[in-house]
Amino acid sequence: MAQAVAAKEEQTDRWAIIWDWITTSDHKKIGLLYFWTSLTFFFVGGFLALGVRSQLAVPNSTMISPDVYNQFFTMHALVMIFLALMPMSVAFFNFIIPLQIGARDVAFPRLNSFSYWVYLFGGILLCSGFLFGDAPDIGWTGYASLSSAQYTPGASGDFYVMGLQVLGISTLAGGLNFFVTIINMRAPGMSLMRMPIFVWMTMITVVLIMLAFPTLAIALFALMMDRNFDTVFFSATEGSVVMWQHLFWIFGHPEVYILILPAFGIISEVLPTFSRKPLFGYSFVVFSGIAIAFLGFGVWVHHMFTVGVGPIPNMVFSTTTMLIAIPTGVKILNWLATLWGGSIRLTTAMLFAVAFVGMFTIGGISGVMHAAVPIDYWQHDTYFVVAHLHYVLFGGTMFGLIAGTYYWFPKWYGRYMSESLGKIHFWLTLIGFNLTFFPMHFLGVDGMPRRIYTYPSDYGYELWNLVATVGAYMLGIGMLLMVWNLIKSVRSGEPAPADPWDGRTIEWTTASPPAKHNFDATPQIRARDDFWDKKYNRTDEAEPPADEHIHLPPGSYVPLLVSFGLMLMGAGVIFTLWISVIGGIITAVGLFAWAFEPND
Amino acid sequence: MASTDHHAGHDEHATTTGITHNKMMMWSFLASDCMFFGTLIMMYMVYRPDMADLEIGPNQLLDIPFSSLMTFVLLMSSLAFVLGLSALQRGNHAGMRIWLSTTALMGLLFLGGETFEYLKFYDEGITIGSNIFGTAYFVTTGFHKVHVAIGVIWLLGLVLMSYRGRLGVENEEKVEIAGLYWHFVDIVWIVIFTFVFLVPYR
Amino acid sequence: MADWIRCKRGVALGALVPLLALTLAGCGITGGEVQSASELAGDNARAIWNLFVPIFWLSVVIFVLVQGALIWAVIKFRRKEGDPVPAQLHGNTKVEVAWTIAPAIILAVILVPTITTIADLASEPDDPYTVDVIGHQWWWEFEYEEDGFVTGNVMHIPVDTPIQVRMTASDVIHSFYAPQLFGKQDVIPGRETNIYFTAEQTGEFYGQCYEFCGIQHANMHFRIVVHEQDEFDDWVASQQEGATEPEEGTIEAQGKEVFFQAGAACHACHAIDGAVAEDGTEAAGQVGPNLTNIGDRPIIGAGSLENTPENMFDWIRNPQESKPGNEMPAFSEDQISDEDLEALVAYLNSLR
Ligand code: HEA
Ligand code: HEA
Ligand code: HEC
Ligand code: CUA
Ligand SMILES: [Cu+2]
Repeated sequence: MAQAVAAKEEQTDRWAIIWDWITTSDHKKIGLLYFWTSLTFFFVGGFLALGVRSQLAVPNSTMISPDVYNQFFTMHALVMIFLALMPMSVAFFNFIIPLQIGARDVAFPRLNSFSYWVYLFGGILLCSGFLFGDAPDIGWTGYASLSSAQYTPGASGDFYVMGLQVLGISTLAGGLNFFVTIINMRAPGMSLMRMPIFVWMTMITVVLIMLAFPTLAIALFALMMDRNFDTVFFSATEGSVVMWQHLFWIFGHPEVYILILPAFGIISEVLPTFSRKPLFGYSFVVFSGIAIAFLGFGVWVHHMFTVGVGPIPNMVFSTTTMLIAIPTGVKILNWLATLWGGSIRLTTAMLFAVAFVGMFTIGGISGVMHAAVPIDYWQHDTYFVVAHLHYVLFGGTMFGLIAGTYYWFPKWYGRYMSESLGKIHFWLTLIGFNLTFFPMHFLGVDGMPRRIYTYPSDYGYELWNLVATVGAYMLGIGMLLMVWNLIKSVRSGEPAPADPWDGRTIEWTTASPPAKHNFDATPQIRARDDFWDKKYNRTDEAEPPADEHIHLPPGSYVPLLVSFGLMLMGAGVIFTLWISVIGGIITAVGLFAWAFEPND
Repeated sequence: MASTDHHAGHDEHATTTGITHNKMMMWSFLASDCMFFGTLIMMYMVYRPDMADLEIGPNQLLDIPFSSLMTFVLLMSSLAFVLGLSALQRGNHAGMRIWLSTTALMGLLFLGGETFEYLKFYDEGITIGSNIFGTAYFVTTGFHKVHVAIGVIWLLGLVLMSYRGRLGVENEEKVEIAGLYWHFVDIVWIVIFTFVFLVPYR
Repeated sequence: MADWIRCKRGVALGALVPLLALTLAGCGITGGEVQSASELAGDNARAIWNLFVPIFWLSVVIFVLVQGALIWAVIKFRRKEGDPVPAQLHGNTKVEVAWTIAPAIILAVILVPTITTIADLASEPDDPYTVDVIGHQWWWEFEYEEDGFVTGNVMHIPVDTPIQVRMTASDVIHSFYAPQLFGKQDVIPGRETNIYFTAEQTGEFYGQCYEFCGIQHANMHFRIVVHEQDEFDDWVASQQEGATEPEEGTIEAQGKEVFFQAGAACHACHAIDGAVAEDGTEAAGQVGPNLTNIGDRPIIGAGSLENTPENMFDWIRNPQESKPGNEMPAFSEDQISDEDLEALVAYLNSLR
């Protein structure tokens, strides 16, 4: 970090440095802001998870009151999904995508900083429910009619609606930005089929964001109208309570692929690098990603098999859901084939990547079990689903993001993370993870419902709940170790060269950490793994001359201003409407300033 | 979100696709916007069968001749826009100002007509909360109206810029992008008009 | 040294497969039975389990193959000092096509029984015995429309008779599921959903609400008691008869008075079929569960407590203690004295 700042200007004044971070529009700094913020939120979510696990460790526990428990598991899921895992993926988009496509920055740098600030303020808004003892307690799915003003009076439901609405703006803005960036800013020669897989998966992810988030926005808008302005969208008598579920899952299923595809991308970079082999079946991996995204819009009813939509729809959606296992299976097998015959180096990043393949497969298989409708009549809303979702979200997404962190950390800070700490972190995490979530399958078989704050003592749930709780604390220790490793390595990690892992893609051609302008000369792409190709096949190639006029946009505080206004607008709906008015004015002034701010 | 950010870096027009960032952004945004409207219209379609039996519902309230007229006005505004854009492309600034102002005026006329309908419904006792028709109708068309209103402001902004001499032939793309938006809002109205007004309720 | 470390890791990795496989195969080591989906007592649940078992074993095979290949690859292809750069293999279309088709075949194999089972479970039996279920925050109401009475939290049905459970909710969405008997269906306000099943054994079966429905979702249990047909007929007859009238002068009679007295006013919320106060007031409240046979129920407050006199005493004194947030208010000693409360408990206990 120190170097990056020093490279920019001689800023010794601390306030100048802070101001620089606040107004920055440099994708690398925004990426780091995203990373550290989302990691912080991960610990908030993890803390809530530990609360949940502590309460469930023994039967008939009264450690946490039912009301608080419901807030805990709801906020646990919201924080993990919307404030930790998605933004952490966005951190990787930010730092890595421009480097991998050979660009100086993203297409709309100030919009990018806007996305970050809206994310931060939206996160604060969502979590501030705890300050009033009234955080959302309706499950992350917020089903009607429980979420109506009648059954969830008070602010908690409004925190849910407005928090997610504001966060959605951030995600949508980011999604559009990265779509344009990838479509429009690739280095000369980088055709679609030469893009690194991480770029491909990011592009598919942002398309999913562009198409899925509007549905959530409308659903939340309708819920807000129902709660605060007397409309009847989700009322049982006039509208339809089931409508909410349809809208939520039309968004919600693509959302889970939004969560997993970036991790797929990361894995597809890490496995080849440490096997010293190209990704096996590049085009199959690409097209299976597209197929997953496409099918992802046609399976939402699998969350609603027990709603009673009828046997025919259930059969149809069972089929489409199972179809998704095919492209996903293709990916798994291609990763295995990438390892096969490789020259494998088990760095920490690689260990997490390999474990990803194993753990995600477990989660995927239990997903296929849910997809068999009658089995879901049993497993739905039991701990079997909780096991499934953590195997794909933690064993999948989170393992992928951790692998990416160890892999790209040297590029971020010009230093290695400690491998010995990393290995301990890995084993603690792998074992803790399986201890926590594998027994939940057994609990599911024994019929333990999810979202219960306590269970009786004679149902046979004691043992596996206790094991899961022990596992969760183990995971927690593992994650703390990772943070220690991160902090230690930022300060005093072993210095890393530009290309620490014998990498394959062009982000490794530039310095670690990269200069503000990323590349001295615009890269020319000749092959898929261009850097590898250059190192091993085109060794006599001359360096292209450095570009002459490198122009970077100045920073701006306007995005911060606009996002603050947006947060106030959301808060006003929760408290009193005049706060919204003030927020609206700030937003309008900010947008006006934005439109006329000189940006060249 | 009318961002006027320029991409960082080198040559303004050296994008991979040859389409500028701003225009690409507008296309992407419209893809998203399709899903916003798609969700609303889908919801409307699901609620539709229940609306036929309401005591005061679409069968009693909808005035198809009047709304057809308003639809016609909105459609014609798109034509006016095209004339404005082509005037600018030929360097005819006065023509552009006149046509874009006409476009905006027609948009305002449309908004006025729709507000008139709203008030009429209100007199009949239909509000946003009175029944599912009120809810779905006001929210769906209201969401569209917000789009039209933003479009009107945007168009007037362009006219203003032109008066101040900040909108030359060289940045006619600014007008083109506004046009993408305006035409989109127009087309969406055709869909809404069809499903909300024209298809009979049974 | 390096060799030793490598070996240790290999062992650790290798230990993982059998470990996981063991636990996976170890459904036998799961904890409980009372609410387990593997202890079958109904045809509906059996159909589900019969579908699950082959899919489970198929999953075990896929699991072992994938994890095995993964660990094998990692061990076999570890980089050694001075290894050359491996061949840069980009892919192999034939292999790719093969492993696109293979999962497709496996899934087709899963899909066929899935679809037939869906159809089976959805098909309405001829002439079923119907029980209406109404989900409330946070208790269950069971209405026997044909036979003309209502009960709560404990459902009685005859064995070997096709049952139709016809469900709706009064407030938010709930979900009705007794794992040993049938698969779950959501219970939705403004809609009707159905479950069809036949109980294959007599006995008492556990179930509860599986859809998050607010603060006391955890304590929304119910029981299903399956009788032989003649036993069931007796039960129905006794329900139709209404509550047992306590004899004059007994403590139960005193308890009945308390039930109607101003400080308690239980009748405002609870019905007891056939119970009439001296002033002619009927116990016909609709807010809480019907108490006509409360003495007969194994649980109080939808499973928050076991039904013993002491627990009943505590429940009425303060239901918020064992079930915080539920809709029944607490009754202080000013409202019901200890003595009266004991009489009340005796009365309730006599209602069978
Ligand atoms: C990262 C997130 C993620 C991912 C990737 C997935 C992937 C899948 N999910 Fe999951 N799911 C969730 C997150 C995710 N899910 C969450 C959060 C919930 C709960 C929501 C809530 O209620 O709170 C949920 C719930 C959920 C349900 C509803 C359960 C219920 O509530 O009753 C279902 C039902 O069909 C389902 C199915 C699937 C399937 C079939 C896949 C498939 O994509 C998996 C495909 C992968 C494989 C199958 C493994 C690899 C393949 C092979 C090795 C090839 C060979 C395999 C076969 C032939 C079987 N999921
Ligand atoms: C998105 C990703 C994600 C992640 C990463 C996790 C991670 C974890 N989850 Fe979560 N979870 C969900 C998504 C996720 N979960 C979702 C979507 C639901 C459904 C919610 C719903 O029903 O609505 C759910 C529900 C859920 C439940 C079910 C609750 C219920 O139904 O009643 C449980 C229970 O054990 C649980 C546990 C855990 C645990 C132990 C972790 C662990 O992996 C966490 C590990 C991390 C830590 C342990 C952090 C360590 C931190 C410290 C040690 C420091 C402590 C900090 C301070 C003191 C300041 N989760
Ligand atoms: C304001 C309404 C109200 C009043 C007054 C009230 N109850 Fe209740 N009662 C309820 C509700 C609601 C429940 C269900 C609670 C739950 O399980 O969530 C209940 C549950 C019960 C149960 C458990 C029933 C079962 O099947 O598990 C008993 C017993 C009971 N009440 C007895 C009484 C007695 C005795 C009184 C008077 C002293 C009384 N109630 C007064 C509303 C009321
Ligand atoms: Cu009722 Cu959960
Ligand atoms: Cu899904």
